[in-house]
Amino acid sequence: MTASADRDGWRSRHTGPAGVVLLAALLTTAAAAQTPRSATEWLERASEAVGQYSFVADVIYEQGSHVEALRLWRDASAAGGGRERLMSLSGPPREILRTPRTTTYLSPAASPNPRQRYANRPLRLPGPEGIDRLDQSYTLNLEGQGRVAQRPAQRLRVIPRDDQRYGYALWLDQRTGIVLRAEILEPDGWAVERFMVVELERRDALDPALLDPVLAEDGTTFDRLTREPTASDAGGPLHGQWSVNDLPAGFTLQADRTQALPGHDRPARHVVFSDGIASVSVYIKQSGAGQLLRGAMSMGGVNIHARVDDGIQILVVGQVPAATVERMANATVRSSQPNTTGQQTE
Amino acid sequence: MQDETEQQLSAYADGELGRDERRFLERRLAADPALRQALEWHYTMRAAIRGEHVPGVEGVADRVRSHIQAEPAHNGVDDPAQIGWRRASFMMQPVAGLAIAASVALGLVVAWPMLTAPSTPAPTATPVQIAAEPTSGSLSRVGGPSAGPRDGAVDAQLRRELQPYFIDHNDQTAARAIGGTLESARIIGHDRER
Repeated sequence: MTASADRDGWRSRHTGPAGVVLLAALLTTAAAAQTPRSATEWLERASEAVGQYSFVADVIYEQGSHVEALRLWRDASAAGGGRERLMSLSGPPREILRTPRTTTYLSPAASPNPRQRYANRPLRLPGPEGIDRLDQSYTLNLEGQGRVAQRPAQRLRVIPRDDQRYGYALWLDQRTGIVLRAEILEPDGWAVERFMVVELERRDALDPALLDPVLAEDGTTFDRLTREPTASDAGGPLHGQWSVNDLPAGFTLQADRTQALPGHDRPARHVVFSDGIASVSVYIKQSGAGQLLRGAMSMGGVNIHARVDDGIQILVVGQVPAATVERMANATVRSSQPNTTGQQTE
Repeated sequence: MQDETEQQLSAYADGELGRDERRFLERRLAADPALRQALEWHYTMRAAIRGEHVPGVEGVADRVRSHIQAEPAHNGVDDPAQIGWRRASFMMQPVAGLAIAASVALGLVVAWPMLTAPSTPAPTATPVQIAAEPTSGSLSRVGGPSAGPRDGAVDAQLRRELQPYFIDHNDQTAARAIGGTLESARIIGHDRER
């Protein structure tokens, strides 16, 4: 008996009312099994959604008194990984194009556009291991249902276990897990940053033309910067005698590399720490001819703290409270030098 | 409960709220400045998403309320504030009507002149002009008061120094939990100062 005949025989024996009922029961069970039941499972679904769904979304981004309207095209079906295009809908037209290997940034040539370095970076959320690690720094709570972009949403709260990081309120699409709304919250619940989808249109696949830039094709002059990883990205760390001590709990090293910075004639050492959600960059470089940076600053959703130590510019950037970037800046010290928090370097 | 109110405001701004729910919400709006501010946010969002700037949209709810309260009450039964908001709602019905076909944001362009000076033509829509600039000190809260042009702003050279770090950090951490879009939004939202 051939495999085909075998399948036909199976079908003839199992079709009929009982078979249909059984099949329906199995499908129902499967569907129920796919519905996340815990906050962790919802976050995993959100993580998986990034690579699963293609869509066009209109997005509002807010920080402080600033509001931006953006349109996002994301194609999860693209060969070799996802592609996305993000374009501003208000103000000067700007675009960001992402592929698994490149980021292209288009903005009006008249702007003081930074010469940007772009890294090889996958378009994905942390995997299950990364999500498990969140337990060290956050409590995850399900907070009932909501509605965003006219879609039912599962509300999820990511509550920090200490004051070294912000909290997060997330609204995940009930059907797909796509993050429809995200708020970054101070301990008292006030948002310092908000991202919200106001319209979402899912597509089986996007027309490739939709992922092509539209800027620089209308006669206007635009800067187009595209870069792939360079050899300097993989080089050993510069200023290797410097280290970051007294890390806030839960933060672990994610990257440590030497790289060029746009507009800077000398390379910088770039060390990245993350607690699973929040990321903090520590830049260490020889201070040059430019202005030395000192003190607490903020910019578009991140806090910054800078200091200068023995001719070395130390600058910490992160989506964490100001006290945390200050702590990490002060904890960045030369070996055998006590840091400014009084901790002795090992 | 807060989310329920948010949903009601969103539905109100979309013109999707039922008659009874709408009346109930309007009574709350009349008495609650914070709620009016939240409603403004919904209108502003709808304007922003269309790439439109509605001159004077900021504070529209309070101005509607002041406008109405400046008029004598028509009867002594209802609270003046409630009357005001009921009337405001009536005048904003065209907004709700337009919302069904398009969006309340577009409707506001038409509705606001109606509320202040009925004979004034609708202003021409211009792009929203909002610029994110680096400032000294820590992050401000969403919806917080706008800083003055130079309040807390760092000088141009300092800004040029900070910019590469800012973009580099966001670009390289874009694979984090919000899926990269938030970080991209920070970059694209930042590139406004000229």
